[in-house]
Amino acid sequence: MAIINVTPLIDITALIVSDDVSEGDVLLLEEGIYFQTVNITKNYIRIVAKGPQVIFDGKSILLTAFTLSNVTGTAIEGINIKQYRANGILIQSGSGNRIVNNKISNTIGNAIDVFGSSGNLIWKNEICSCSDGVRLIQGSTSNRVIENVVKECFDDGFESFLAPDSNNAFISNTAMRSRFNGLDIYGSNNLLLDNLLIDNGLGIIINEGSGSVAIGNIVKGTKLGTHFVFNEYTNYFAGENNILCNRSIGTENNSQFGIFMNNEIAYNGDNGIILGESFMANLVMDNELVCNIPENIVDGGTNNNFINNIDKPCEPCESPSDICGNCSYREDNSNEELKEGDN
Amino acid sequence: MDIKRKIEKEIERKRKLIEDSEIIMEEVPKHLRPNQEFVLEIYKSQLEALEQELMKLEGEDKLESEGKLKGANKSKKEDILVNKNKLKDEYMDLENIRF
Repeated sequence: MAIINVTPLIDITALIVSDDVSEGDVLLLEEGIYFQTVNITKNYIRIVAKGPQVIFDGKSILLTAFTLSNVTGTAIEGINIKQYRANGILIQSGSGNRIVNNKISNTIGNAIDVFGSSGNLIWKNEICSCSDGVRLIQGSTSNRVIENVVKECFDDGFESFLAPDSNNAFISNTAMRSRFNGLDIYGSNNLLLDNLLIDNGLGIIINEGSGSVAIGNIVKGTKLGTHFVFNEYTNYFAGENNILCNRSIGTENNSQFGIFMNNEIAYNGDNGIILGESFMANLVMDNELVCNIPENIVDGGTNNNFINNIDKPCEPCESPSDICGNCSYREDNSNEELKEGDN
Repeated sequence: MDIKRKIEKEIERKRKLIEDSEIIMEEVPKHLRPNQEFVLEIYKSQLEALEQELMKLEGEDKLESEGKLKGANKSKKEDILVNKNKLKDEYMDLENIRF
């Protein structure tokens, strides 16, 4: 196994295909501007930036910066990717690839697109002005999407596209000011843990499947909708989520056999939690609902069990507009501000 | 059906990407074309997979329309996704923008 130094003048795809590169080799990229698409068709190739100025610029002509096709164990680390016409990084039928610490901006398609692929790690990437930040599609399963920051995307922050996109984990990610959903999650047994969703069009969408779990997420400042669980979804679990200062309903739920516990749903500009007509046989327990206007809880469902929920009306001078009126978050310290606000 | 619409939108988007890419290919320097063509073939295979998925769903829809619609709030669910898709339609113009 070797470390091979690479400059912007080298055709990296051709290099990988050649006998000069073997599985396990590291391609160490010198700083500079690379105008190329790298197609990786060999397993266990590690592509690592030597410094922060390794820039892949597609100049709005090239399709992708990196395409991982049917490969395992590729690493893409520390690359600055911009202005590609399709995706920044495309994983097609791959598994166990590691996409770490990259910056991706201004792609017309999704920044990172995972198509029919499993067990990939997408960690600590910074994404801005793309379609989706990270999308899992066409039976992408068991992927780990962790500590990524997605800003100002013109579709969703993070998306698992349909029911076959299951068993994925979205942990400690941030989605800010996406035009549509912060987390658009279809499929079963997906984990949504400690994500921060601020000022997106919608917050969390859960649809098509069963068994997904959402814990410790913060949803704030959404405009079109906050936390939807659609009908026919079963066994959804939502615990310790903070759903605050959103323009519309805090949680709208039409699923069955779910559990909602220890959530804080407060100061939303519509009802706190609505249990729709097809919402049945759920347990709603130990939630704190404060000053959602007009109602904290609206139960239109059947056979639901309510235990120990705190239902507080607005105190004088504590309407959503009083509390949330100054909820503009600076990018650098939104977490800290929220934590302070919780105390 | 919302899932169907979602796939249709994705197919539409992918078709446009492929069409545009075939046109733009002429602007791509010759030595870079093989890699672009490789990626383009992948997108074509993705499009094919999505089209097959759609056909499968249309078959299911046909069967379902013979029965009755499931779910009391299906129309609400459709409304939300239709609105979202409507907004997306307006936004598709972005695809013509070059950075």
